[in-house]
Amino acid sequence: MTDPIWDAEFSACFDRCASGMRFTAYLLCGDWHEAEDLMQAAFLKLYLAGPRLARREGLEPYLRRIVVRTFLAERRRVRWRRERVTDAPPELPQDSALSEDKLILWQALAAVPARQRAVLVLRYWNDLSVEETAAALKCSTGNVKSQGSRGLAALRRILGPDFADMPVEV
Amino acid sequence: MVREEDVRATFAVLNARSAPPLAVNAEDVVAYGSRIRKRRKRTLAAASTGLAVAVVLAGVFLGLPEHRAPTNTTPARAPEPTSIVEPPHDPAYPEPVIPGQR
Repeated sequence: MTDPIWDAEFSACFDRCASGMRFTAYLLCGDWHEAEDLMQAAFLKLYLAGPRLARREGLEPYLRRIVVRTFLAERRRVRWRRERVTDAPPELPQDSALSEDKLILWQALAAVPARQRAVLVLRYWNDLSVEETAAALKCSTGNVKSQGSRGLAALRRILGPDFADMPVEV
Repeated sequence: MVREEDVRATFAVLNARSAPPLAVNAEDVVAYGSRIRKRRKRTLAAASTGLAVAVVLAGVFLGLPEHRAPTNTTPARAPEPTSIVEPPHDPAYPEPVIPGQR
């Protein structure tokens, strides 16, 4: 049994949010194909949950939460089952728009643990507050703060002291 | 030293780059979701039917006499004869004559 009203709402939401969700997923996993899979899985979960949702406004934060949690669940599963073990760096940009320092930073981000990376993406790309990030990750605000500072510390450790000398374009 | 601004700037530059086109659209997800819903509904219906059949069979099985719990019953009294009927006299078998009796 299909709900035509929900189908129309869902299609509008997909058209509005799909690209943004895929990019968030790309920042999390570093691979466009995996990002597309994550985005598709998140939209599928949203579609199936839609008729049961009490409130259908504000679907974007809900969708972002599904993307992040699906990514983290996938990473846990991969680690547990030891699937797809690879030491390959994340997918590199196809053009040379990324300056050298940003390219290095992007590669270094791939080495940051998944949860810390999720905090960095939600805080510094999606501009979520600590409270919103905590709600998205289903953890405490203290945990978000510690994961965020650990993530930045991990980046500093990976990049080393030389990174500071590089010119930064903002 | 990595600053928050560096991370933000890197994300912004990545976002400005051309991304590959989306390989899925809303119709694909809706179609796939509808198939999953139908499958779930079928599975649920089959499970419900199976459960109902199991419950009925269990009821019938437990209702059989040998599975009924024994109840406290008192045995009926033995039947008493209400009249005595003399057997018919058969000449082929004369009554025995006991000596000393007439």
